[in-house]
Amino acid sequence: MHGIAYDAVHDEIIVPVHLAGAILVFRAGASGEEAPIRVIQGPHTRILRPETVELDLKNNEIVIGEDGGKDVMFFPREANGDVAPLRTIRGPKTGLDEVRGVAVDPIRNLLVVSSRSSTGTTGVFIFNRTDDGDVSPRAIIAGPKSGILRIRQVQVDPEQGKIFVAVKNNVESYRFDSPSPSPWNPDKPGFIGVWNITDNGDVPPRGIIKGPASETVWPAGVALNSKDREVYTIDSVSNGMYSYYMPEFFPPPKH
Amino acid sequence: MNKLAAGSVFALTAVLAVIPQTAHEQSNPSKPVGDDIAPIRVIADPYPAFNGIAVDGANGLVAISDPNRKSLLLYDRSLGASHGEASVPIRQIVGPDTFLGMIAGIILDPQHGEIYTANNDIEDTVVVMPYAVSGNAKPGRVFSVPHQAWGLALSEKSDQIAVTVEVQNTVAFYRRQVQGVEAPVRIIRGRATGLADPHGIYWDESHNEIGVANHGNFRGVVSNTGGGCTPSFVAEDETEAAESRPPSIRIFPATAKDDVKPLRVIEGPRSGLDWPMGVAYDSQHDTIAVANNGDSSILIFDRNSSGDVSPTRIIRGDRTGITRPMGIAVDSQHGEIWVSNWGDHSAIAFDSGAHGNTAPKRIIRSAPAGTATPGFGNPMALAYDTKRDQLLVPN
Repeated sequence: MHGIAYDAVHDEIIVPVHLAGAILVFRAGASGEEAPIRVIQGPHTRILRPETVELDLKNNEIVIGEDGGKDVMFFPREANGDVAPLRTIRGPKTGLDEVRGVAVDPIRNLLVVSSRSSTGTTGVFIFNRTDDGDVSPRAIIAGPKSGILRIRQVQVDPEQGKIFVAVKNNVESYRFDSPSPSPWNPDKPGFIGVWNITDNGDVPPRGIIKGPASETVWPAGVALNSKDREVYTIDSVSNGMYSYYMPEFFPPPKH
Repeated sequence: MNKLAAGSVFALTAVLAVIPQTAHEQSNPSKPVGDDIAPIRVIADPYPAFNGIAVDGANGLVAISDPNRKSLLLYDRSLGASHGEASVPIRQIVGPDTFLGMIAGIILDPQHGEIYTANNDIEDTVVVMPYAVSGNAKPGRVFSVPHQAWGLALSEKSDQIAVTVEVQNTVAFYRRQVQGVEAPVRIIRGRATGLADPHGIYWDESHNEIGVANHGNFRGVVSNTGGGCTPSFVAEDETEAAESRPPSIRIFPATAKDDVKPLRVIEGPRSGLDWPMGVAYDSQHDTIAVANNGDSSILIFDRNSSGDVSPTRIIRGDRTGITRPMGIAVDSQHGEIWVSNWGDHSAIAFDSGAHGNTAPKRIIRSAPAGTATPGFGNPMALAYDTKRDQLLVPN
């Protein structure tokens, strides 16, 4: 599994199962071998290989991103069984390829998607939340100044209008004719990057966690705790989880 | 830290529609905030974590794959860490030149003195190391395999190596001396095979059969079966229903190819199969041994078992030391079964006829007994549980 989301209102955990074309919803307090309370799976779902998942609690929707389907799909939060999606963003105009992360800004009604492509654009794609079908993104954050080579999970802090991105930058070749490099010596180490949700084009990150002191090499996941002003990442080289106190990334606590 | 009440994430999102700039951004807009910041907390396992296991009884070796520190460890099979101390390996192969990454299945080829291990994710290769190397050694050979290769099996008779591929529901066979990018000599793949998220595999030369452990995840038959990794997976038929099938052991003729039915299938509630990982054939007892990860047990089936059958023996219980087993190997020369535990930095040996809640004969440890095991394996995402002040990590 390469994605996870927590529903703080209903106290549930949502995970995509890539190999079974399914979305599973568990009690957040689940432990051990416990059955899911809901499963979205079947031919009507049109789910191919879900990679990542997000919750839009304001609009009561589950958002999934697929690498196989090169799309983003929206389901009712309570969906269970072989149900059709409410909307699907898919097609050549979208520019989406291997979708690695999705996040929703319910205040601005925006959808933020991280997508990796070996033939197209690897970057952060921003759509209207209610987009459906083969639509062009409103904005794309990508290019050499952005530093994005490979990309994974994204989060949005809607209060600030910030996008937090796990820029993994693992430069494996994905080619038949050349072996992949060792994970020990990546020549382009990854980072956690922060952009404004209004950014567009080849924009450098406005905030960054990167370097040997950070201990991250290929950060693949990112999560936020705005209350304690902390950023969390998970690293797929070190198999480690790292917590950073980053007051500069969050507004001062309210008194 | 104080816990946020349920619903407060909703509340957080409902306030501001403007994007505030920090004082830093206003004074120095070109330099990003943050930079090379040290973490305030780290959860990482400094010790090797055991995944696959292989035994060479003739040379007295146990070899274990370690995807955590990305290493191969070779131990003296007669070692026993009965007092809880970490065992000292004969050799550890580790470092940037090794090409070792998220490694899973491992096999030994005593005849040619080679160690094979499959890079399951990211690297999409099988690394072949000479027995004698240690440290930051270059592989003897590396060959490309499809994404999510997991299990390995070798046949001296046919001089081939078999590789299971999770996402493609496939067993790919390569010539033993394969190097670089080579097409498989044959594959087992298709709807008739029933392969669904295959993991462990054994090659029973005496009966000319192979057995494959399946988790049961199935989302169509994928068309890409070439060597190496391609970024996209396209199902041949998008309307094909995704399924979560029961876990199974599927036995095929060792010469099978393409879309063939298995000779026998062990599947169903009586079987007790639950996330079967490694599988091995025990020629002494004519049985199939399964590392049953889901309930921390070893299931033993008669080789000719078929259908919804109960195991003939089960090794399970608090005395066994079995915790989240991944690999299993049979040392027919010494009448032992070896099990590698993902759950607690250990590999354990039993008499191959063991059953019930039996203590292991010997224990090899990569860390002192009781050392916590985070269990991360190439993690790719996380979420913050605001109610419990916990971080959730899918593997």
